[in-house]
Order: sequence, then C-alpha cells, then structure tokens
Amino acid sequence: MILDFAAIDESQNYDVCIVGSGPAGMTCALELAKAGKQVLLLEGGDVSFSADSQDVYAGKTVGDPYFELDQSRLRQLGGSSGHWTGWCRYLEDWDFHEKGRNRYSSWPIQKSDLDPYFDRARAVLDISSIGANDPYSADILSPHFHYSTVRFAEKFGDSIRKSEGIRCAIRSNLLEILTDGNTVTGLRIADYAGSQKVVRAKAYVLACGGIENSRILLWNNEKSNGSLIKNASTLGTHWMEHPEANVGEAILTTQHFNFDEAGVCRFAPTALMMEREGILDCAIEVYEASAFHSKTGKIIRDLACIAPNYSRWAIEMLGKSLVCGSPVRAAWEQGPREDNRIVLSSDRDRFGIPRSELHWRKSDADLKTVRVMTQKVAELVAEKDIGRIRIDPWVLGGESEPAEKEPAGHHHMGGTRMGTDASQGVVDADCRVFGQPNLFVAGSSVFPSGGYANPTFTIVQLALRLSEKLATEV
Amino acid sequence: MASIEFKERPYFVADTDRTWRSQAPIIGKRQFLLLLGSTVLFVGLCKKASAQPRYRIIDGWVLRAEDIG
Repeated sequence: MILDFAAIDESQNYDVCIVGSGPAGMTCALELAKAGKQVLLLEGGDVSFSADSQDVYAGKTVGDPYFELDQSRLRQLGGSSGHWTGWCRYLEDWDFHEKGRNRYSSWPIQKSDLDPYFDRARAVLDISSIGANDPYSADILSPHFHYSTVRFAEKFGDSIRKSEGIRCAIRSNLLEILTDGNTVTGLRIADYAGSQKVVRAKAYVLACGGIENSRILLWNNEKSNGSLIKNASTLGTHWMEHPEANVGEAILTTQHFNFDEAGVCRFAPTALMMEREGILDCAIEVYEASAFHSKTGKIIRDLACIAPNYSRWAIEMLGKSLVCGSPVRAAWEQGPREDNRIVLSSDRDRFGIPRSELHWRKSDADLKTVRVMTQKVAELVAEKDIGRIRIDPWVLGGESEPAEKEPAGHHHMGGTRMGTDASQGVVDADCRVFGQPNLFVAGSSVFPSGGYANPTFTIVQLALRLSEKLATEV
Repeated sequence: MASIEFKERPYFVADTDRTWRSQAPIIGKRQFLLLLGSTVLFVGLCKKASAQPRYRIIDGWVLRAEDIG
C-alpha cells in the first residue's frame, strides 16, 4: 500500500527498509514482497512532481559544463524513470575487466554474475529481446539498443498499492542513519512539516540514485565521526558520466546502415581495438534524420571542391537512398578518477543536510577515446563505400570542444563503488557496505566503471540480484 | 616447407672453387646481383606505397584517394 508519513507505524520492525523508489528501489521492494518479506519503501517525494521535494536535489557543479543537478534527476515515486529516455543495453564482458591501465575500472563481479537476471530485467523493463552485436570489422561492431517505455510509478504503482508486503511511505525523507558502530539500528525520517520518526528493519537499502547515495553516506559518516564507513577513502570518488557530443556529419546511403526504430545506427569498438588503441568504450551514433536534408546542396558543393569524383557520384544518387547532413554524435565511457567526485557543499537543504557539490571533468584520456573512435568509424564508412563522414575540428584536435546543450547522458555512476575490499570501494560484490553487515546500496552509484551502455538495464539486474540475496538473509 | 640446400646448388661460387664453378649453372654473378637489386627496389617501393595513409582528411572529410581524382 501507499501511505503518507503520518501513517507510518514506528513500532513495526520490517524485514527490509528501502530508501528511494526509483528503478533500483522499486525493483528490490517488489521482488522482496514476492519472497514474502515485509518491506518499508521510503520515498522523499510525492506520487508525482512536487517542487518541495525536487528542491532537495539542487546542488552545485564544478569543472566542465554540466546540467543543473535538480534537472538531471527526479525526486518522486518511480524516481528518474519518470523522465528517462528509455534506452537499454547490457554491459559487455569486457566492461567488467580492467581497461585503460586503470585498476579502478574492473568490477569484483563478472557479466556471468548478472546473466541469470537478464530475462527478468527484460520483463521489468518490457523489452522483448536484446540482440547480439553485429560485427562490421575486426575493430568495429554494431550494438543494438532497445527502447523501454516503462515509467516505474505507472507500471508498478498498482502492484505496490495492492501489495500485502510493501508499505510505501511518500513524503518521507531520510535524515539520519542510526548506527551503533557495528550495524545500522534505524533510520530517522522526516516530513516537510518537520515531524520526525524512527523506523527499524533487519536490513537497509539505499537506493537514492547516483548522486544522492554518495551525499547521504558522506553526511551520515561525518555525523557519526566515521563510524558508519570506517574506510571512506573512496566514498564519493570515481564518479562517472557518459560524455556526449556532436562529432561531425555524414553523407550516406541508408540501405547499408542498421538504423533502429529511432533512426539511429551505432558503431562501437571491439575489445581488440580498445586494447590496441588504448581507448575506452564508445558509441558513435549516426542519425537518419530527414530534418537535416536541407544541407544537401551545401555539402555537395563543398565536396565538389575537395572530392569531385565523390561529389559526382553523390549527385547521381540524389533522390535515391542518399542522405546528406546526418548528424554524427558520440557517447563514450569515462575512466573512473579520484578527482571526479561528490563532496558536501556549504549550502544546506530544508532538512539541514549539506547539498551535493559535483566535481566533474573530462580528461585527455576521455577525449582520446572519442577522437580515435570517430576517425576509425569514418575510415570504416569510407572503406565500405557506404558514405563519408566529416569530423568536427575539435575532435581532430584543432580547436577546443564547443559548448554542448547535452554534454552527457544524465547517467550518474560511481561514488559508492563496488570493490574487492574497503580500500577499493564502499560496497562489496554483494552491494553490502564494508563494515556494516545490514546496510546495502542499490543503483548505478556502485558501478566501478560504466562502459557506454545506458545504465538502467544493469541497475535492474543488480537490484534483482540484491533482492535475491536479501530474501535469503533476512 | 622445402628449403634450398645452398651448397648442393649454388647460384654463384668463388672463382677458386673449380669443381663448383663447373657445376654452377643458370645465372652468373652479374645477373644475380641485378636480380637482387631489382627485388630490393621492388620491395622498397611496395613498402613505401603501403605506408601511405589509405584515407585523406580534407576539411574534416575522411576521403578515399579515388574520391579526390
């Protein structure tokens, strides 16, 4: 059932208390209820948007241009699934291994640990199938992405209302994680009127998103003088995004490209090429957008000056399957770095908790990935004679990167990374906080590295795995 | 893989070795050096050709040689 803060019964001891009702938290709650567990699901926001709740997400960014933090996520029932685009893709085998000679990039689990949850994650996200990669060459493959229309509050709202095992309390904000130093003993929560309660459970799951999980743990660790997370050396650090940018335009013959339902054809590097070129994962996206056909005349005139033979061929193809001016975009993996991090700001939210301050920059290694990969895809397209690509000057190193309206994918990863021990991460391979046997973290904040795939599919796989673990423990 | 037994079938031999000289056949020292030089030149030219970039970038466009004419 869905209830308001006032209806929360402080005397009840739940099996699991989950903070946050986005894809990770809601998936966990539903799975645990199916297993017969009593779950308290806390949501700081309302069933739909409320300005009071959303303001808690405001924060500051330092470094490269980035979105306003309260516009990059949603604080309401269903979390950011209420405004996500819906693209889904699984992480590849090689995304779990060390890349770019960065030891922090490897996961303590493998793809085979998440594969058992593949079909159930597809069912949660209403994805009928996810195709394997099509190889273009030894260096480049064509990955398939799939589109999910699932808004978690809409799809699962009724299930939660009718559930015997789930008490979903809205407008219930986490103020403090109570700990005796060895275990978490309860959560102090508050509503917007200032009323406070303490709720207790056998296990607690933080599922507040890729920025908020770090903020909550940083603040509570500070309040508890470090007794919550004894080794907090990586807490908040190694935060990552998927940087995005326009990298050029293309002239192409449409029948040779694998355009998906949204008119996008993607190219990605093979593991062999990443190793050889010293780059990370990357998706180069070519759009079959007819809106750009007005540029045809200019492009063919420009090509007539520098490539007269190709220009003649293009003129012959006009009106057939030729598209001129297709935008070429890149979305790429960013290596985990200590200096990309969440810290506590000097500003505070309405509950007196310091707001998030995100420090985020792209490194030269991040930019090398997009430079090498754009050039390799342009060469592949020319080699196969299926089009030609013009690369923007900044990608070739001639200019600085222009300002982007969409500088990244709104994919907040890292900050409470999964590691082999407390010096390498905040949580272990089971998503359990090191040194706190009944405190767990769910969501993309546990990703040690992010590949180029949109994170929600992996978030759901990890949530299913965590709920299975909790169902046997509590 | 078959190998050439150089001593049994030399392509040229020292003048002092009359026995081998009488058996040595096919091509003389001058022709052999000419053939060797031509081969070295051919291999060198091939390597130089393959070292040329297969694609040229002009005004950002990644083009094949035949596009340019």
